Amino acid sequence: MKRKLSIILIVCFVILGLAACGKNGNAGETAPAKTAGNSDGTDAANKSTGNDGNAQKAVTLSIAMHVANVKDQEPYMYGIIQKFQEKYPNIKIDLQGADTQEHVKKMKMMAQSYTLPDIFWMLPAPAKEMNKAGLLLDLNEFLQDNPEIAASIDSKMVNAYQDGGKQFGLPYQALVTGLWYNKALFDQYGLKVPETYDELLAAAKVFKKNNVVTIAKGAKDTFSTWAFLGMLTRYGFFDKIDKIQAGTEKFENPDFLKLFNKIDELRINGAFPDNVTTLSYFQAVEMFTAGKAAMLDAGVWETKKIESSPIAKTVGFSWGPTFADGAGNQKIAMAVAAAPLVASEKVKEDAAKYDAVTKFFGFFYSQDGAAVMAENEAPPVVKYTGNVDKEKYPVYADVISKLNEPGWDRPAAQPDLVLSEAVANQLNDSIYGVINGIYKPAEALKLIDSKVSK
Amino acid sequence: MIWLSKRRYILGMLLPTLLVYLVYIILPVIVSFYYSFTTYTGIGAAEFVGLKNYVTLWQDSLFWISLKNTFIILVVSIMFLLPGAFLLALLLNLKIKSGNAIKALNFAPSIIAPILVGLIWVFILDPQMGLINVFAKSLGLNQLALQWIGGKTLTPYSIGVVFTWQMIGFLATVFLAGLKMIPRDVYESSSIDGAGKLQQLLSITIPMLNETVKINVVLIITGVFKIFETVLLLTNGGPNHLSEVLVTYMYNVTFTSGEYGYGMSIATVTFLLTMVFSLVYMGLSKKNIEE
Repeated sequence: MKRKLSIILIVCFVILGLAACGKNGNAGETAPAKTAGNSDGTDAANKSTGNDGNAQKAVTLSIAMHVANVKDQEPYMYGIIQKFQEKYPNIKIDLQGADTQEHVKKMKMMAQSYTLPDIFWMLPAPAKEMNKAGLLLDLNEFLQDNPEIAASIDSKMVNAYQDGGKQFGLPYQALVTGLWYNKALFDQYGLKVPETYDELLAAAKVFKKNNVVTIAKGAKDTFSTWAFLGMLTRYGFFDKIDKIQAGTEKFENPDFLKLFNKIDELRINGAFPDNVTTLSYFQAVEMFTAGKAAMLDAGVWETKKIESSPIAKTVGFSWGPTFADGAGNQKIAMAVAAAPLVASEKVKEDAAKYDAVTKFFGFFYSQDGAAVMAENEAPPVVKYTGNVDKEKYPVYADVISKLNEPGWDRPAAQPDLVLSEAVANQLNDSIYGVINGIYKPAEALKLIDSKVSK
Repeated sequence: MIWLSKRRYILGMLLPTLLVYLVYIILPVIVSFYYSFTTYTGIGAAEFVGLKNYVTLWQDSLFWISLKNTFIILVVSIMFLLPGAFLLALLLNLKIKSGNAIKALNFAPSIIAPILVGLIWVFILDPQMGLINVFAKSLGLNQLALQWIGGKTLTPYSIGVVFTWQMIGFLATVFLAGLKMIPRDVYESSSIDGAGKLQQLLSITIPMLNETVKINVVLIITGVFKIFETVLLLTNGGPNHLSEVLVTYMYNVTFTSGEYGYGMSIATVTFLLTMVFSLVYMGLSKKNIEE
């Protein structure tokens, strides 16, 4: 009896073990999408009719995003997916989300096992590597078939995701970064909202005397250096970067050193929070929206949050200070392609899936998609022809007006996005090193050079 | 039960667990070891570079900082955690009212998720809003309002204290189990022979807890080399990696910088250090017993 019992137990364990090791049948493909507006649990969609009137096969598209809760954190993507599913009821979306770092890690692992989602968000550098490894769909055909879309996206943003003759991705969103400011605080202390570095430094000195933080920042999240990356472009970053990567120029050059010295000068004059080293980016945002800081280094993704904060009526957006000793054009607006939305090469193996993917891209970059973005106060990637209610959305309206301001050039990309992950990480780390008072400016730049040479 | 003692049945019983252990523990260690000799970025093929990553590691000041911090936490933990847990176990061993409730309370920090432990201690240690500094300042003791975290020196010591708080209940429970194993009649005999409490402690309790001490030291060593979430929450390794420990630095290099190959060389060294420390300690303590 005991022997039989033992054998039964062993068999059970082995079966359980094998079941656990086996393929899970890709739950994402079979489960009705949580986000699906039409997920009624029936097979009605199997033979549903699209708006084009043709009977179409039911398709499930897996989409993976870089935020844990897409509905709350990327509401425009969630909204676009809802509208897309309404338009194409035969296409179900299996939407997955994970925090950026977790997401990137997951995508890399999935790339190794050739199980990438159909469409996913990816950082530019690893997306480029995935393209080199032949894992991503070439979207040239899509752009050729949809010339109106190709024409409606800023060409610099499209070009940012070309490599080896392939269009491996399209901009997911416009990365618009700079310095948010609380005009009420500037008015309170009789200061002008700074347009130049000298004005910023003068404001920092006054704010410090009055226990107001000039620029809210959180060093625990070293990725939050956007405004300073924008400043780097005003010291000729894009004139130098090719030479730096070729080994004929260095990060530790007189121009970049000037900028890093200025960051150090801002630190010495108390422009950053005293506890910047233990603050996170999210705490810095809270500090600004609570009216405790005059400026915030961030991007337009914070529009909605700021719009709903008590300081909404007095907030404005700026591209950051210009520099008298800068290199090249100073009127540079950091409105570039953020990170690409890419598709797996494998979708080409299934005609229905490929069709669904192109339909999704078509919808995402349509005026309908742009309208959803505008509704959610995100800057549309395509040229949007709709209007913004200035009374209802004063913060968003200010951002849009800055985007349309004439005389400002847009760079090809944000500096860290043209570097390898390791170098970009070191660049952020070096900027924060100076802000934290850990690195001397020249030392901080040397560390980036050592990463480049590796 | 005789059939269970046959070798083939024993093997049959062990096989499923062994397979899981091989696939999920041994194989990843071997794979990590292999990748530590490559410049793998997580995508595409891994390029074999021999010992290059280990040479880089040797010259990497941040690796040495994270190693130093790990050792500081180890020393702080052994200095405070081991005697602290032992004294706590002695107290818990006394027959006192609500003894079980006190035991449960002491064990509580061990069952809190490490990520929450980090969060709790941020509110205690933060130089600006933390309980310690706010309290010190309210008493006018501004000189005690130090940069417990986020500064250049104190963070690893603070992490050692947090680790001590987190582990003390668990290790005290292990000590308590050891104390309960010591036969009562040994104490009774020694009492008859005129031994006092201190003599009993030094001549009976501590020597007879030798194995328990050994287990606890190994638990501390392996625990310290695995610290991750607490650092992540308290400082995220900052400012500028000055408070990194080996695991957080490995994580940063591997997943933030995308240097998988180099990250695996840090993981391999961490693994080897943990093994060496544990084995050397176990070897030394065995030698002491034999002597």
